[in-house]
Amino acid sequence: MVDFLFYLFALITVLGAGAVVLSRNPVNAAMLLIVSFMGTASLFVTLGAYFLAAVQVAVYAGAVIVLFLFIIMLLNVDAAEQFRPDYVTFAGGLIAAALMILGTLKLFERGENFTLLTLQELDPVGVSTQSFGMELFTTYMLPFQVAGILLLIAMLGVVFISKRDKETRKDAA
Amino acid sequence: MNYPQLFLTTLPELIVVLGMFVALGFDYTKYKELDPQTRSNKVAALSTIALMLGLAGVVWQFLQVTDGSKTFSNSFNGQVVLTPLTLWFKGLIFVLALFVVQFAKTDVPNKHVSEYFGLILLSTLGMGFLITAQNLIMLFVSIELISLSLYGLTAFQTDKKFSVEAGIKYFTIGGVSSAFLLFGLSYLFGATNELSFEGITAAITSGAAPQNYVLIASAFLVVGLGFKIAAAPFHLWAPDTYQCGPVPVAAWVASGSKIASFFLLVQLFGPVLETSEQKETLIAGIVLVSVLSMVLGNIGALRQSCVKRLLAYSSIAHAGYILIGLVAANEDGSISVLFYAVIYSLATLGAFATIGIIDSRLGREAQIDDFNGTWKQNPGLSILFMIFILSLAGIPPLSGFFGKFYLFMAAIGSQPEIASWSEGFYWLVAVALLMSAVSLFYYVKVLKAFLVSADTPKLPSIQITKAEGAGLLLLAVLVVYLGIYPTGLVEFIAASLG
Amino acid sequence: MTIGLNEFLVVSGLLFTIGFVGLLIRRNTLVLFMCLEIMLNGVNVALVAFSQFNGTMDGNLLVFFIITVAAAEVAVGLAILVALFRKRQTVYVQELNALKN
Repeated sequence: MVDFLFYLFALITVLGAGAVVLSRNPVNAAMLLIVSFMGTASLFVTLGAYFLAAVQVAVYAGAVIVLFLFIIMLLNVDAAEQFRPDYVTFAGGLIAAALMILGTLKLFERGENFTLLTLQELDPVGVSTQSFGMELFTTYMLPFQVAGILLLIAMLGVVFISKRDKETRKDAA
Repeated sequence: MNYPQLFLTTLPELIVVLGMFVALGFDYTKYKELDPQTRSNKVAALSTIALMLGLAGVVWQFLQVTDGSKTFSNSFNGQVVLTPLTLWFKGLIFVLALFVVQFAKTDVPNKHVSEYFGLILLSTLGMGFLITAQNLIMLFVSIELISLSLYGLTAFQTDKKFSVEAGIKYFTIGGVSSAFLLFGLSYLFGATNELSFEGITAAITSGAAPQNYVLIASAFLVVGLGFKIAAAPFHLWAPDTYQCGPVPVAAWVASGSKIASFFLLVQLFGPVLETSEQKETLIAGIVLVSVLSMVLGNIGALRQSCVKRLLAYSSIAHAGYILIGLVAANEDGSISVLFYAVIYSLATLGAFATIGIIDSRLGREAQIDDFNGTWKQNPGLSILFMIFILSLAGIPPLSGFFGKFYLFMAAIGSQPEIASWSEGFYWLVAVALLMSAVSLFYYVKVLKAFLVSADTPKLPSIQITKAEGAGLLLLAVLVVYLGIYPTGLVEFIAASLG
Repeated sequence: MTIGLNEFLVVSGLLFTIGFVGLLIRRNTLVLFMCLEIMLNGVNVALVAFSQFNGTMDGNLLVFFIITVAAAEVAVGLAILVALFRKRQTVYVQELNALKN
């Protein structure tokens, strides 16, 4: 059963991601991205990381995608893209994809030092929300604070970059 | 959880953040009605005070640590480590930030003055954290702290279309590099089951970590960090960012963020390169990146007429030279990498700052021809610029020469037995020397423009402010001093690294 | 066949590859940003899998930070994009060639 669910979720995730890359319309791409993110969240659930699954849905599928959709609407750029990659980049993309897929398959030569658990035998470590909080506010207190500064930067940056200056507005009018 | 210790460990950062908030607050309220230049002077003064107090905090920590105090020995739950070496480099970052603030204040691109200086201060914090980081989480968060503020700063001139365009390129490529870095980090974590550098190093050197995972991790880390240090073939963002962002920001990207990245590179790769079973493969990869950077950087610089773009390509070439020290994969190599990173950033900061001054007086991007006859009108500025450029070119007795000398010696010295020409790193050093000769060509082209006499010099006599003059003079003195007396710094790095 | 660590790593690698290929072949900056997110998702899957199979929660914490930072990064990126659109009325990268020389 778990195996079947894994394949289902993996398929949703990967196909969703592939569809994002291939869809011509940015709105469709954003919607398909939600599908892919949901698939990822489900994979987290199969692994037993429930809190992260919730965060994934709330932050990615919720906040980030909504932000994308807002910008698409704001700029009014939901026109379909003329999807004609030139041959050089297309070849480059194919080579990159081939290399990476080969590298991924090479991983099937298992690392010799891993305890070779399967998903059924896996005993999820205690990643309850409580233990998350404990770790964040003790061991990882400093990075947590720094992440706060990082959000401050994002705020500062977003405010002044996207702000329209009075002079430019007059020019536009 | 020891909160007093957290407070003392992050004291310099707390001071700087507080100073930034004070500057923002004054700028939004009291200075609101003033004209931009006055505001910029006042905010820069506040930022300078904040940085100086922060620097005082770093110096205090440095003295505590060298005295053998145990205050910081816990290294804050393995997140950061405060040793003489990391604190020295953190202090250097703060000093460089002080210079950048002085150069930035005369020509703030638009009226968002306090945000401009705020982002410079916050990126300084990120670089400081990156140098002291001892943990993959801390590493990632501080790298992003640097990157996000630099994206914002590059796109700062929102009224100029090129600035925003450079910003979007820098953002996209920076995002890819972060993704590659993270992919590498995830495999590093998977292979070693550790997040702390100490644990990772121990797991790799003891051979407990699966080798194929370590190899994948290293490959992705080289790509990710290669973007950050602007090494070819991951350099595509650098020329645009340096040319089209505000000049002090370009100077900051080329100096501060490079020092921090190279420090990280030495910390992460130093032990792995010395001991890992994958040594040969990894070194081959880094050699490739190094050669590509030297060749593409120097050849690219030859065709440039815009001076900022020329310096951007030269910085790519310098990333190639520095990687030679890493290839040596021993302690001498690490010392020479750190030493050259310091030297390079001082000289490049000075060169960019001079160009920034000329650009702002000229009101457009300076081309090489614009420098014709500068010598007659501004002899002082010309001499300072000459010092920086000659140091970048590696002319003795300036510090750039000794930096390169140590790098090349470390690479050759890493091969104990006398190898034939094709073995060892003789050929690599030969390529580097050849490319240094090529680089002389464009450096001299710039200098010739300065010294050549023109009937009508294009540049008027330039008035530089006291802060700019003092900053340039101090940088030049440092560049010359480290050339005449390099052993002091080298011995300090060697002693603290060992 | 039973599901182990490698299957998750393959999914992670595929996501990363798809995102990277998308970055190379797409021309719409908005879609490029989405591809960046896909790459980061690949990393997240690998990290959570490693973390759970190794029996520690450190990797989960790194994922938590990645999600936080990615959200902030997207915000900045989209702000730059809005500024760019005001200047150039385009989101296509092939029209951003003013800088080439």
